[in-house]
Amino acid sequence: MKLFILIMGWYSGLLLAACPDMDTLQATYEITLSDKKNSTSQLVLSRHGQWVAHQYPKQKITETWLRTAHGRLKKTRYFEHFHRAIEYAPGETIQGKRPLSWAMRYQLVEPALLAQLTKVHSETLECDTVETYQGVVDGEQVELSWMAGSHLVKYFIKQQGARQIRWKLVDVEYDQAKVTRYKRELESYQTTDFADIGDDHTDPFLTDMVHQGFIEHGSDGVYHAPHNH
Amino acid sequence: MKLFKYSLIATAMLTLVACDGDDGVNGSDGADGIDGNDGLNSLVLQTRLDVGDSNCPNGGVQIDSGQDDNNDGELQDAEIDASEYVCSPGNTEVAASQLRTSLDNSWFQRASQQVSANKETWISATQVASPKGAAAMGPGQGKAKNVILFVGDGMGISTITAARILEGQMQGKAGEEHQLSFERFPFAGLSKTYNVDAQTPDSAGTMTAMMSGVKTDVGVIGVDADIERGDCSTVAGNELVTALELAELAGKSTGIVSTARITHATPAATYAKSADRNWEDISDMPQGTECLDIAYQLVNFEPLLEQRFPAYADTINGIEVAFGGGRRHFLPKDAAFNSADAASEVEGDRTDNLDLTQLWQDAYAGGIYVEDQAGFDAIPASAERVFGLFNESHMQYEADRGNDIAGEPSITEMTSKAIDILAQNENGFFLMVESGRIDHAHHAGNAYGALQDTIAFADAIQAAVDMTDPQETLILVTADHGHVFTIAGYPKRGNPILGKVVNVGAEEPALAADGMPYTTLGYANGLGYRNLADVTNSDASYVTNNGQPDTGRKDLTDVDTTTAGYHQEALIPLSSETHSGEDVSIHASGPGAWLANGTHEQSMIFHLMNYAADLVQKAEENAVSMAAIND
Repeated sequence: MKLFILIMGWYSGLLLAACPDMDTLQATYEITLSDKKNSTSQLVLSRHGQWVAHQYPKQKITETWLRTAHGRLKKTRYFEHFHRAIEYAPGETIQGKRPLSWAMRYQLVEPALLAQLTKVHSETLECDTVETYQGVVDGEQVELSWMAGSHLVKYFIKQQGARQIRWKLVDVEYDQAKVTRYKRELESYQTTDFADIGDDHTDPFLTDMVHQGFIEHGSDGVYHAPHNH
Repeated sequence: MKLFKYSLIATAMLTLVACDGDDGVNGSDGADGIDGNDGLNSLVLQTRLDVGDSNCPNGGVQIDSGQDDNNDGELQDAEIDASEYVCSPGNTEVAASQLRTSLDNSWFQRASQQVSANKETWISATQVASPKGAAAMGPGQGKAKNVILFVGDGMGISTITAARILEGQMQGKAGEEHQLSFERFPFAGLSKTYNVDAQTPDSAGTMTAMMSGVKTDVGVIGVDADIERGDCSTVAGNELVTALELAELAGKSTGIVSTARITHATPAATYAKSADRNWEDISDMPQGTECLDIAYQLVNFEPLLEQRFPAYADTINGIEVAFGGGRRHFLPKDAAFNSADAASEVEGDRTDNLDLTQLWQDAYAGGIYVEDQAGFDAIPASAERVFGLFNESHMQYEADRGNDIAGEPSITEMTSKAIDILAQNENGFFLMVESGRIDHAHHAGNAYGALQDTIAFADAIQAAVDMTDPQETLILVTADHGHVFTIAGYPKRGNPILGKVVNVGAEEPALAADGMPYTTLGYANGLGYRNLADVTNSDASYVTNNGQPDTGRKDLTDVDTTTAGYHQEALIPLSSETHSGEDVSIHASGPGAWLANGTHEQSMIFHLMNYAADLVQKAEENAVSMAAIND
């Protein structure tokens, strides 16, 4: 009996070892907006434990969130061109505004959305399960392909009339060393506390903050909690 | 070093001995005797002694004398037969030379002359004769055993007015007739805040002016305007002496309290010399720099001051009280050093692996290091020395203090505890208290936060008034600069200061030419409108609207502008609201307070404190008495 348990344990360990650590990855998304005029952008989602980064290659800006031991989210915005960063206080919920949800940062989708949709298909893979959801939310037709094991959106389509937003996972890497290197590089940037932005009016980076570039509204996740667009 | 040689001429002498009886015929002269050996040269060696020498604490000359036994023309140690010392009588000249950067500075000289001129004006106007035997002394001069300098960072006059009204209204009054604690002080004047190179100043240049009597450039700490910002090599020779350092030399206890990081510009200007205000820890500095970061200078304040003033080594005993935020600058960049309420994955920023909090505890065995409210509460009033770092970065806004995970003391609690500890010294104390976040709330465009912190600051000042004797304690309340914060329109008496303008005789908000209501308070520039309801952290504005400004007019008809999270409209879009260039007020109580009476250069505040406490004179007397003890 003991031998059997040992063998089973060894076998499970092998199976687990064959699957990557879903908490450490880099996932690249292509975001396409089809409307009167079309546009395409990219977002690279990096995860490392309680740390998540959203990199916007076009704007050369990365936003990261750290989930602290007390469950608060600490945001840092990195300006790659300047090798500078602005650190924000661990966030509090801002009433009447979009809450800073960890799920939105970590997996780009609120769990509330999945609860509103209908699962129409499920496929079990070696290390993951891919589920397809469909439904109508706030008058928009939504289709979502969800990798339940890795908590990744495979694709997401939201359509209302001629306007369509499509998110597509184009690459995912589970390279721990690469993510660590990337994180370290960001952490080597010179940081400034958000509260100190107004202190130093001789620093050209800070005085020109308004023009350094900001992330388009709504591109930091495919869907927020209902009524919180 | 001078070497003087004196030669002696050696002679040989012969003695003749005679017998009784007739004198015989003198014989012929004998042959000349053999010449004797040359005598030894006597040498004198004169050596200048530096300040701090064990025989001459104030410096002097050592005179060694002896014979040149080995005829090598030099006085070796073994040949010295006697040593005598001519010691400098006191260290007045030494102090002057060490203060040269200040004394030769035209800002210093002009501000000093302003004190003298004011003194003459006062004496002339009041016919108060100088006490007999003290002709040079003015009223109150040297009478302040204790000095407390309160600095409201960014607390311009419009901020004081609005806070006064808000506090009055919170007490059920109309508000306008109310007075904040320090507005009841008997004397007030105005302070011109500009920096040497800037019309609208920053905290580094302004606080350096207040602490050392010398106006300087934007962005530099404790050094004069001959410095090149960011260039470490220009620091040497341009360091200024601060009132806190002079108090230390005079044998007083010293303390600093701030709700900002304790390494931030205002508190830093009391103890540090830095070519850049941003050099708060070593990771902020250029690689390979030979300059010391600000946090390191705080923890090593005592040995660094002793290096500059070795004659005072027995008196200098370091800063007794330091309360504030900014733990990140004192800890290594290593998660193993994180504190209980760390906000970052790795709290410390130091790349030299130094844990300055531990070094401080190692240096001061009797000291108490604390990080939270519980630790603070446990500090006894009899504590010898305390170091409190209550936040990774700045401490919380007063309105937001309840949200701190580990808990933080209020500015009143910190001030009271500081006075308890410092007042144990019979020679008195110097204390600087900064309300650092008035400035930050204004930068974020949030009047509520700025006014609440101003009211908390006024409470701390009242606590200091209650705990000290006005006969022996000078209390100054001032600001480093103002903000572009206005009180506008024609609201009726008692109209809520955070509300919309309601005209005299009206009940409904007045409408502007665009048909929309408007608030009494507003900003000329900044991020502009935010309506964050009950959010008490003013900095939420930086994460709202992606940190982008939202300036111009908004329809405020259905907006409650009196809430904590309301951010006033602004005109010019900037990533942060800015300082202003107008004068700020100085409120004074205690010995010498009458000097705050007119429009002054900001650098005059140092001279006012020096006048009241006679810091330079007391420091010099202290050195003389130490020299006497050592003799």
